[in-house]
Amino acid sequence: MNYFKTIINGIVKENPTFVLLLGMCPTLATTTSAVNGLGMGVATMFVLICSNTFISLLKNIIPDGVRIPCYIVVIASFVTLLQMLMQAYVPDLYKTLGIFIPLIVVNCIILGRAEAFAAKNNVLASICDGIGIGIGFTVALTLLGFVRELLGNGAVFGYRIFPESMNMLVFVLAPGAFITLGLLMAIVNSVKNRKS
Amino acid sequence: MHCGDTIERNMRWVVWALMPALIVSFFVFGVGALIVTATSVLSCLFFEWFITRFILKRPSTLGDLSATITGILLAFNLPSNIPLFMIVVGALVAIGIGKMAFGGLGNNPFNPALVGRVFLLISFPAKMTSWPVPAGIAASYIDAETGATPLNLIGQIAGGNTAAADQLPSLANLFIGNTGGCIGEVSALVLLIGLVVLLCAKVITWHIPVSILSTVAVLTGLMWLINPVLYVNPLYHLCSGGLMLGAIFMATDYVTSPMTPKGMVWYGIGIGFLTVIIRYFGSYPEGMSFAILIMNAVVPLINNWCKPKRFGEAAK
Amino acid sequence: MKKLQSNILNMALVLTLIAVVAAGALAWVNNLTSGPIEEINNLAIENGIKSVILGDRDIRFTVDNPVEQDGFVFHSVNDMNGNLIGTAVESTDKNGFGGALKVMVGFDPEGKILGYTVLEHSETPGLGAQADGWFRQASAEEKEQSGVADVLLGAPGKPGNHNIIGMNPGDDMMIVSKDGGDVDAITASTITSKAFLRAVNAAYKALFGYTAADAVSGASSQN
Repeated sequence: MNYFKTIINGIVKENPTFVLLLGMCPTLATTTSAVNGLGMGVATMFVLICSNTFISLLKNIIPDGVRIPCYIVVIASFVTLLQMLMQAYVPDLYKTLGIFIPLIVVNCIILGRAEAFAAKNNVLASICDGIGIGIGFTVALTLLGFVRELLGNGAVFGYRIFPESMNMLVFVLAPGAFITLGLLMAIVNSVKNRKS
Repeated sequence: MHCGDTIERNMRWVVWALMPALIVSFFVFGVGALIVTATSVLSCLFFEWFITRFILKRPSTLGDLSATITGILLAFNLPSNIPLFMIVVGALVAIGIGKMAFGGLGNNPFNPALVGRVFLLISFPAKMTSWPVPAGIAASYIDAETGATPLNLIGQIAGGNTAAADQLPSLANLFIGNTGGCIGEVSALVLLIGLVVLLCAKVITWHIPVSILSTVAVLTGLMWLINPVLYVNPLYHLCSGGLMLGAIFMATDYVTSPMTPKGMVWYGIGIGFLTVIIRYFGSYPEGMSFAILIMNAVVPLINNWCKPKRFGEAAK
Repeated sequence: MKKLQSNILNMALVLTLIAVVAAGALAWVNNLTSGPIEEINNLAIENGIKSVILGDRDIRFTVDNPVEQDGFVFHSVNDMNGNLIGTAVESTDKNGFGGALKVMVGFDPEGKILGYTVLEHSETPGLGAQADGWFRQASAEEKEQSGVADVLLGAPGKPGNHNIIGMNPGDDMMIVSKDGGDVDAITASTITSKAFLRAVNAAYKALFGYTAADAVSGASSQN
């Protein structure tokens, strides 16, 4: 198994947002600005790498009959850990992302990778898969947040580019998330089709 | 399509039927009405040409006039003092997302002009809900004075502010269109003339407009009978806001409305019902465009439900 | 190593084991972080009191022990001579757009608002979450019309009034202008704005017993 290939695979060929369409809830809900998208992506990546590692380690101890409850317990513990650590040591980031952190538990990317990858591969490969999928998710969320912030708030990472009278509020709201995601997916797919 | 008709012929009649409303709005809102309509039509035509030519790489569809009508209807749903870039954005959304993203004319589930209008309404709520007061033909485009529309007042009355009733324009003014509002919606009279033209030219049938208007009349009439202090006379509802414009020109769009007369009646009742609900209980003053879009989404179900029986098929 | 069989004993054992280990790890981290978290929360309250009462003024002050009553928390702030400068009230409205909205409002002895801060909220980022800045922003100045640019890009919005600093809920109608009040709601976030103003009015009422908005909100709550 080529570890580098596993990472690239997670970013491009099996990009969780644009290709696998997993984890749509946090994707749509948290990407109101590029910073929020980035923060959510990194937080998810942390949980994903940890849970992939542990589930890969424990894969032979966990009987098939209770594997899903076990995965959920592992994932939920890491999310709670992350929440407490963020609250204590990076309170500012926690203040912006606070209500989205518990959402990571129900992010199907994490359970999906545990089931599809970590339960079948060794620890190192699982970590690489976590890094790859995590980066893919982070890139997608940041891109989505970037477009929505630019059109909806006229700013990029908080720096104003368009005058305030040109803000298109819809892009900050839920419908704008769907429209942006759809258009970005169309562009990604059209670029991919042209290449092949 | 109906036999013998061409898309172009019907579309041309629709354009003619819309012209009286444009003339009236010129007399009510001045040159702003013309600037907004021209910008909207030109940008819709441009995006239609650009997308078919460079993205879809198909033969041009400008000739079927559908983009022209989308442009006119979009403009008719905007206030006459709206900044031009917003119109261009609305046209891009109407043509690009409302129509072309679904595969062009005939495949779009939603009325493109309304997609553009709702996009603008949610994006720029402040600009989209401040309507210039009727200032006559000499009204300026940039610093038009804005004021509450009849629908704002109706909402305030229903909210308990019964003093707002004094500011309501008279029914006669409302009927001929001497009141605030979007460009194409102010005059019920000329919109009804448009309806007669479309009916005589057999472009549309009576089912959709009549079922929408009568549903609204019955529902608001019932509420008026229950409490005439809080709920205004149903005639005010019929003549104000985008109701007439929507019922006659937008709900009747072939592509996005049901195919059978029975389906059309149910579709109309649904639109009327939702409009009244949104007007009285929603946070926006006008619910017509949302009501039409919601019922557009239901059309495939209605079509499935009201399927015309095949010849010789046994009744179920 | 061979995979464990899915018999009831194995399943119960493994699940229990994992749960116990996870609980242990959580308890340990909770123990580790509860100190810093409480410190941060206390600091937030302390900074909140300072900012809502004193603003930019730099005077020495003492804070009385907080008094809790009916869900409100009162912090009385005195200067060094023991004279009351103002009272900071923590007040919560349950019906924000995303849930409860907790604010701290500072009133001077006459009831004028000295400042406020949003302590906890679950409002939409970019919309309702602006509440922390919106209600203290000086309203935008009306700009000169500048011809072509305004036709294309839109004239700047009419200056609204959404600065509540200096208002007195006993005299001013502190409800959104849509309902006939004196405060402009956050653009497209009327629900958040209403919740915020309800919390401010409730804080004032808890302190002084009445508000000017009582009559109107009483009437509008009937529909």
